[in-house]
Amino acid sequence: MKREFNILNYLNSRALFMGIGLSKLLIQAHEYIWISLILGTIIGAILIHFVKFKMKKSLLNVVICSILFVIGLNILINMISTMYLTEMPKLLVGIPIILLVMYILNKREVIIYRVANILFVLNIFLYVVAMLSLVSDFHLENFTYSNTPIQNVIFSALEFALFSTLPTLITRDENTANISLVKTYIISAITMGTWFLLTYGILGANLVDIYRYPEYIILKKISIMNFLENIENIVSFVWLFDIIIFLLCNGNAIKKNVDNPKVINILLPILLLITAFINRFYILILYIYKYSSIILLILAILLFVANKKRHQTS
Amino acid sequence: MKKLILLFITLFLVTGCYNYHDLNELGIASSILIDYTDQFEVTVEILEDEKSETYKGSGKTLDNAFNNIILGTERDLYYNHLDAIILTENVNVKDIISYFMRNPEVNNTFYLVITETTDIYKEDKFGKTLSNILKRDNMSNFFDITQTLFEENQDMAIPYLNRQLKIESIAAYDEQSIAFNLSLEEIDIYKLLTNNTGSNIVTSYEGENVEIKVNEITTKYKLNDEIKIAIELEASLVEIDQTIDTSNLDTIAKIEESLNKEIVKQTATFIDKLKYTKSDILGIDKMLYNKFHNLLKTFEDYNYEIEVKTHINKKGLLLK
Repeated sequence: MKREFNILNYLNSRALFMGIGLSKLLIQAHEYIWISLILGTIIGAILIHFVKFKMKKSLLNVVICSILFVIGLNILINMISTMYLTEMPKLLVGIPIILLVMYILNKREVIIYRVANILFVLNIFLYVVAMLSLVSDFHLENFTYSNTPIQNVIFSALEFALFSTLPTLITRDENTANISLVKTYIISAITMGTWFLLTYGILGANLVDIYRYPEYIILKKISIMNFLENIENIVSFVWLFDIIIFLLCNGNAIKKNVDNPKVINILLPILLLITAFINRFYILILYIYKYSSIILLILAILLFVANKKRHQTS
Repeated sequence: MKKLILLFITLFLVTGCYNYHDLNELGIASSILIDYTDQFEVTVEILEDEKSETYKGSGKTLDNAFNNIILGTERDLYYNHLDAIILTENVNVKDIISYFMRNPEVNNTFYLVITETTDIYKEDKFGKTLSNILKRDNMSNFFDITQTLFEENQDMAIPYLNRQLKIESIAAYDEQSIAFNLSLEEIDIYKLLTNNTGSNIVTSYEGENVEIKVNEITTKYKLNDEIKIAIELEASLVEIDQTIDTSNLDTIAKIEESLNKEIVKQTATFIDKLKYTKSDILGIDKMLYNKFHNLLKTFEDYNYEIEVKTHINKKGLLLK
C-alpha cells in the first residue's frame, strides 16, 4: 500500500504543471528558475513532512475536489484540443475522459493504484526517451540575464511548492495519513525540475514567453538516431498520465466524501458540462490561468482548515 | 449487458474520428513559397508517390491564400513534414514565422530560406533537396531562426537562395530588413564565430593555396573594455601543392601560423562589415547585456582583438 500510494502521488504531484504551472513559473523566474525549483522543493518537502492531514467526510471537501477536478479537466481538454484533436469540440474531447474516470472510480479503490503503477512505468520510459534525445539541444547560453526581479523568483518557488503539494493533500485519508511522501516528493520534484530546466535551456527566455505549451514545443525537436521524428504527440503522454491520475484522485476523494458513491456518476458529467461551458469563453480560461495560484492557494487553505478543524473536534 | 453498453458507447466516442483524415486526402506539404505583392501569393509543393506537384493560391491573408489552394484540390494541407519555407524579400518574416509557430500541426525542424526569385520549382522534390543541402551545410533551421527573431539584442541570419537556385550566401538582417548578404568566405567565418563546424578556409603558403576543413571548433568571447574573440579549431588538410612537404613538422607549424593570420584577417574584415551595416548576427549585444546588464555601449562601439589557434590533426591518406 505504501509503495502504491507513493507511486500514485509521484504522478499526482506533477499534474498541475502542464499547461499552467510550468509555463507560468518559467515566465516569472526566467534564468533564475533553478533557484525557484530548489527553494520550492525544500518548501514543498517541509510542508509534506510537517503538515499532518486527512480528509474527512464533508460537503466542503466535495466542493473543493470538484473545483480541482474542473481545473484538471480544463487543463487536459485544452491540451488535447490544442495538440491532438484540433477540430473536435471540447465537450466531445471530455466525454471519453469522463467515461474512463467513471469506469475506474466505479471499481474498488485499489484499481486506481494499479492504474498508477502501470502509467508510472510508461511515464518513466517516455521521460527517459525525451531526456536522452533532448539533452543535446540544451544550451546554458539560454540562461542569460533578463532583469528578473528577486520577488518573482521567490513567488515562483512558493507557487512550485503549492502546485506540487496540493494534489497530494486530496489523497490523504485515515489509511494514508501517516505514509511519508517526502522521498517520492523530492524525486517527483527533481524529474519535474529537469523538465523546467530542459525547456528553458532549449527555448530561452524569448520563446518561453510566447509559447502556450513550451514543454510540448521542445518535444518537437526529438529526433532519435535521425530517423524517428515527429513523435511529440506520443512523448507528451507523460503529461496526460499525470493529469488522468490527478482526476482519478479528485474523483476518488469526492466519492469518499459523499454518502452514496454512485453520486459521482451524476456529478462528474455535470463537472464536464461546467468545464465545457468555461471553455466556450476563452477569457475564462485566461482568468483561470492568470489567477490559478490564488485559486489553488484558497483551495489549499480551505482544505486544510476544514479538515484540521474536524479532526480536532472528533 | 453493462459491458456491451460501455463497448457500444466507446466505439462511437473514443475513436477520435472528428479529426480523421484519410492519408489519400492529405496533401503533405514539402515546401512553401511565399511572396507578397498587393496580396499573399503562395505556392505549395505537395509530395506525391514518386514526384511532387505544386499548387498556387493567393489571398489578403496568408491563411486565406492557403484556403484558396484547397479550393482547387480535394486534399487538406498537412504541414508536419515540411522541409522548407521559402520567402521572398517582400514578405514580413516575423509575421510569417508567427503564423507557422501558432499552428500545432507544423514541425519546427524545417529550413527557412530567403529567395531572390519566385521561379524555383523547376525540378521534382525541390523542398527535400533544399533541406538536404542546408542540413549538410549546418545552416540554421526554423527553430534556430525563431530564437533570434524574438531576441531583441540579436539580428537574424537566414540562408539566401539565388537565381541559379544555389545557397551561396546568407542574408544578414538589421532588425527587420536585410543589411547585406554574406559571401561564401564570410559564411565560413560566420560558422567559426558561431561555433559551427564545416568551414573551409584557404590560405597561401609559399605562394601556393592551402585549404583546410574545420572539424572541431571552440570560439569564446571575452567582454571587457574591448572584446576578445578566441578561436581554437581542429582541422583536416584537404588540398595542398605536392611540392610542399607536409611530413615536415616545421612546415605544418608554418601552415598553421599562416592559417591563424588568414582567419584573424578575415574575421576582422567580417566584424568591420557587421559594425558598418549594424547587423548583429553574432548576438554580441546579447552577450554584452548579459554581462553588463545594460547596453550603454553596443557591439559597434567596441574594439575587437582576435586570437586564433589552428591545430591540423588530419591530412588524409598521403604521407606528404
